[in-house]
Amino acid sequence: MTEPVIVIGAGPGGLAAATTLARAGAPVRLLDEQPAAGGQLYRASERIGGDATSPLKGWLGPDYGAGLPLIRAAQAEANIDWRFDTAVWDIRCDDDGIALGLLSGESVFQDRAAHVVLATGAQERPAPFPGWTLPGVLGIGAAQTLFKDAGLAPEPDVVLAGSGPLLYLFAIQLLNAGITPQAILETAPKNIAPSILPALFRAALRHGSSLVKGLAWRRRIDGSSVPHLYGITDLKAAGDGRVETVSFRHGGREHTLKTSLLLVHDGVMPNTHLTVAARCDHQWNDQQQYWHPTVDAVGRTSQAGLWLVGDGAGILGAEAAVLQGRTAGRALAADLGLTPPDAGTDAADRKALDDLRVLRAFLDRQYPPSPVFGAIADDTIVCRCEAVTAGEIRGLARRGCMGPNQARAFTRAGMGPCMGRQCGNSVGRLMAEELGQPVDQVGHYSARPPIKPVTLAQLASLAGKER
Amino acid sequence: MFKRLVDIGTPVTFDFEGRPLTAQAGDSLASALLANGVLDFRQAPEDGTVRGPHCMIGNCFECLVEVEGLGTRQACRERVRDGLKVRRHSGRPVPGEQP
Repeated sequence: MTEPVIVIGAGPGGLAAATTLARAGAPVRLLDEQPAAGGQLYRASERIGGDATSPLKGWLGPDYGAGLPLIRAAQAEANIDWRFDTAVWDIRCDDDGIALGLLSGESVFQDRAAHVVLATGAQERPAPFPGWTLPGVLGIGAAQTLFKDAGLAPEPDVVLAGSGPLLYLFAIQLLNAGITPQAILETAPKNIAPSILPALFRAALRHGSSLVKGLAWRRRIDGSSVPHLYGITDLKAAGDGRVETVSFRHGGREHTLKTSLLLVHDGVMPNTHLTVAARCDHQWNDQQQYWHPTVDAVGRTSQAGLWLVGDGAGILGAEAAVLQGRTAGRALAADLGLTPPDAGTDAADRKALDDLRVLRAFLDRQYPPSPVFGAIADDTIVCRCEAVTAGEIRGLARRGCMGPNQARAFTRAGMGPCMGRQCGNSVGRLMAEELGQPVDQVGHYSARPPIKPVTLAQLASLAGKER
Repeated sequence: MFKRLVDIGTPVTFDFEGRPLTAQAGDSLASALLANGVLDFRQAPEDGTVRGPHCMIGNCFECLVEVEGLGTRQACRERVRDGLKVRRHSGRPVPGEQP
């Protein structure tokens, strides 16, 4: 067996899958868009973890520290061929396997494998609200990326808004660094609704340590000098060419804060651009309002030879991504006729994964997509690239437009440089709501190559070139 | 805005819209510009409004800039280098003008 398995994404899931496959004796080619391993969560782990003097390690906290051992374990495997700064602009599944179009630096080339493991992770759920296209309005995840990657932190006039575990985690990381945000505007209510208590009890039995950690974060935030408001609505950003003010309703009154930076977060959702392009079967998670590919218990998608691990298959977090990566790696190794490493821990890994699913069931119910971002006003832009508003999409649906792909043809929504990565979810939800149909009946955007920008000259250079 | 709390590398000087800016080796173009207080990276072609980084993971394409005369580069995915020439991205090219 000499043909490598290609793993796409060097975050927790991809690292675990690549390490497991390599230890089974399979050659692995591990691709990532970034210049170093770690994915988004463990971004810059080698730089930060390898520098004993960096205060970032302490500020980011113990969970972040779990990334470096994963990277080191993969680096210990001679069977892994690392390809950083490599983006995928085409993926197609045919009778001979999986063909990839890759972009590395200024060169484009093609690659092919019988088995590909996708570990393409999550993206922050786009949260349309008035003023969200202003410079200075970023995702909380985006600001966390700048913190890890560049040591950049928000100035203390920053306002954090939205809901979800990442909102708390980043607030804690800022407090650790000595930065007290101007305000935390939470879109979720303070108390846990009685209907969610059974899910909370189940999570406490199976993964109590995470709940204790979450409560400690909340207690620390509420014990700090940072104003923390729950249940805010009507979030708006305004300013001339950049965000200058944030307004919202709370306690029956409208409030306005001056700021140079508004960070928002409405949870995360699978990054489905590659799986859609590969024409995998997808399904709609109505509770979390996102599409995810259909995978079996070990990570096989509906396309032969194409596997998927980690948050790309549905949000479960980094710890689960590692377990999924190992489980898929062992199953794929067995498919290849190799002896899976650590077969004895397979049952324990699956049990741990089940525990994390029970924890997630609670988190999903406590932090559903916020109605504050879900009730999109008609004049709010949903497609940032082409400046298409919610009202235009609703109007199309009323006039008989059949779904997101037809709406794209009529309005160019989803046809700009991001190719629908930011508006696809909102456009599907808006049309379904207007038509009174479930989102999975309305459908989602198709994705066609090139799914990353390549120049005509780069495409032309492919003639007669393979690998 | 953002401020640098921790140094990540040696100083690097690059050119933005004809003026020299200092960043650090290891910065993405996006973090290099944000560290200098630049939020306005491009002009959106449809409504002419200014835009800047939003997702920082290569998904939203709001941080597009022109690098060494090549348009449509994601500033969050390009690394800064000494002497690199960077300009704002305009989605509204003037007919007849080289990109």
